[in-house]
Formats: sequence, C-alpha cells, structure tokens
Amino acid sequence: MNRNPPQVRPDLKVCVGASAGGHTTELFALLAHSSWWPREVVAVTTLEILRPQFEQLGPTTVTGECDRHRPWAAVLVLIRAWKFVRRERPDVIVTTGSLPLAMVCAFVKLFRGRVVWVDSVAQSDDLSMSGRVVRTFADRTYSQWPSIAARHAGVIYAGELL
Amino acid sequence: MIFVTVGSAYPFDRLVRACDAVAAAHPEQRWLAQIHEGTYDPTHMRFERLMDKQAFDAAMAEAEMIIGHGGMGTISGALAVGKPLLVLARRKRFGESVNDHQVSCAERFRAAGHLLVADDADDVGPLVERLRSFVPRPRRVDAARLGSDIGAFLATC
Repeated sequence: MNRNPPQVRPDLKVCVGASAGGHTTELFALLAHSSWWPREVVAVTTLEILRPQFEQLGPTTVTGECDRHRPWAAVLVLIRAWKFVRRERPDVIVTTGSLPLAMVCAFVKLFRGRVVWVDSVAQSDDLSMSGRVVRTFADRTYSQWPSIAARHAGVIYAGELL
Repeated sequence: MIFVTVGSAYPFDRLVRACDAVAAAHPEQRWLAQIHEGTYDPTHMRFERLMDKQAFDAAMAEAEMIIGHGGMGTISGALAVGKPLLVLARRKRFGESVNDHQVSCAERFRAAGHLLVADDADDVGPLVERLRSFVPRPRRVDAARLGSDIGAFLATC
C-alpha cells in the first residue's frame, strides 16, 4: 500500500472502463490497489453480463463489443460511447482498453477531460492499435512491458497488473 | 473436471472442436466448456455459452485442468488459482482475432513457465496428457505500483 496517498480532490469525477475479458480483470486488479481514489465513479464496459461486476464501482453504462473488423458494431458502440460521455462528462477516464474504450477516451478528451490509458499486458510485442491512437491525445499512456515503453516516447512502464 | 473456455468476447470454434475430439476419446473425464456464440455445439462436453464472473470463478476453482484461448482473463484466472493451463491462441489467419497478439503473449507466458501452448489444434490432445502433471510457475506482479502512479496523476487533475 501507498503510505502517503496523494490527495485527489473529492469532487473529481472519474470514469473507469474496460472491455470484456482480460481488460476487465486488469481494471479490477488496478482498482484493488487504488483505495485513495475519489468516490464519484462512473463505469463503462462492453457486455451486459459484466454489468453486476461494474455496478459495484458505480453507475454503469454498457456500450456493446466491437473491433476494427466489425464496422457496423463499431458505429453502434460509437453512438453509445458518445451518449455516455455527453451525459456523464467525467473529469478523467482511466481505462485498460480496448477499442470501445478508445472511443470513450476520444469523447472524454473532446469534452476537455483527462485520459489515462493502460495498454493491456496481452499486447506484448507492441502497443495495441487502440493504444497507438489514444496515445496521441492521452495525458498518461502506460504499457505493461518495459520494452514497449522504451520504444515509444511518452509511454510509461510502471509495472504490471496481471 | 477439465474446464474449456473461449473467453467472453468472441466465439472460437477451432478450440471447441479440438477439445470435443479429445473429450470423445476420454469419456471417463468430466468436461465443462464455455463456448460463446459458436456455430459448433460440442457433443462430448457439457457446455455453456457465457458465464458470469461467479460461475466462471467457480469453474476455475473446480477444474483440475484448464484449456483456453490466449486471453488474459483466462491466463490470469488460471494463474490466480494455480491450475495447469493449456492455451490455443487465436490467430489472425483464421479470422479469430484482429492480430496475432495472443500467439506472442502465450509464447511469453509459456517461456516463463506459466502455461503450456498448443501451436495447432492437433496438438491439444497430446498436450492434455502433459498438462496433467504440469505445475505452473506463479507469476509475481505489483499492481500497487501502477495504482499509485495513476493516483499521483489524479491528484494533479
């Protein structure tokens, strides 16, 4: 545990989000070590089956799943991501990916929020495609592999989640 | 019980077919497969399409061995309960993933002694026998470091 937890302003509205699968496991591993984070949290994920798990964190929005080979699904996710961000207007988003969350990140940035992107440990050769795009506007981009962080300026390695 | 899982996001028929063939040859073994919305329904394994976290964790805890796709939910789940895991990675050339990240990630975890890898669907059967005696090396991570780094950033927001 961190002995001197940083002081986060209590009214900071934080959005946390992750796609199904390992991304979700990573987010919960991160939050398990983040007890000093502000209490006003909204959550976003991609599948209904995950809703009960995310509702433990805060009010949860489900966007649906997509990847870059499913353009029609992606359009639906994009619309849901837009509605979510316009409604909630978080001050900052913390996410472990993937593409649906990259869309949410883009809209958070559009509304002048901050973006923290943690690329999945599953991406062991290079940043994910989403990570490469989000990195261009994110306030913090992390990789869980030191070799990847070393290759990309501004990408931080600070250990692994899984 | 051998627990087969394709993860929660997409189907993975190649893995389900391979395991069903092994299950057909091992009727004495109990099987449970989580197969998502695949087009192939196994006939030698009990199966579910999707499992919530509770059901998934229960299956992981009950299984003596796990066979899965190369997703991190599956890999970290198996490592968390210290169970032997055999991975068949999703491949781009079969349209199972947008790229081959599961292949390289599974290889890194195999090299570290955390799991076994089947390079091909035909390798699943022979490797199940090796899996029986495989003891995974525990993985040590420090999620608190990333947690406090992000916490420090949030303090500046």
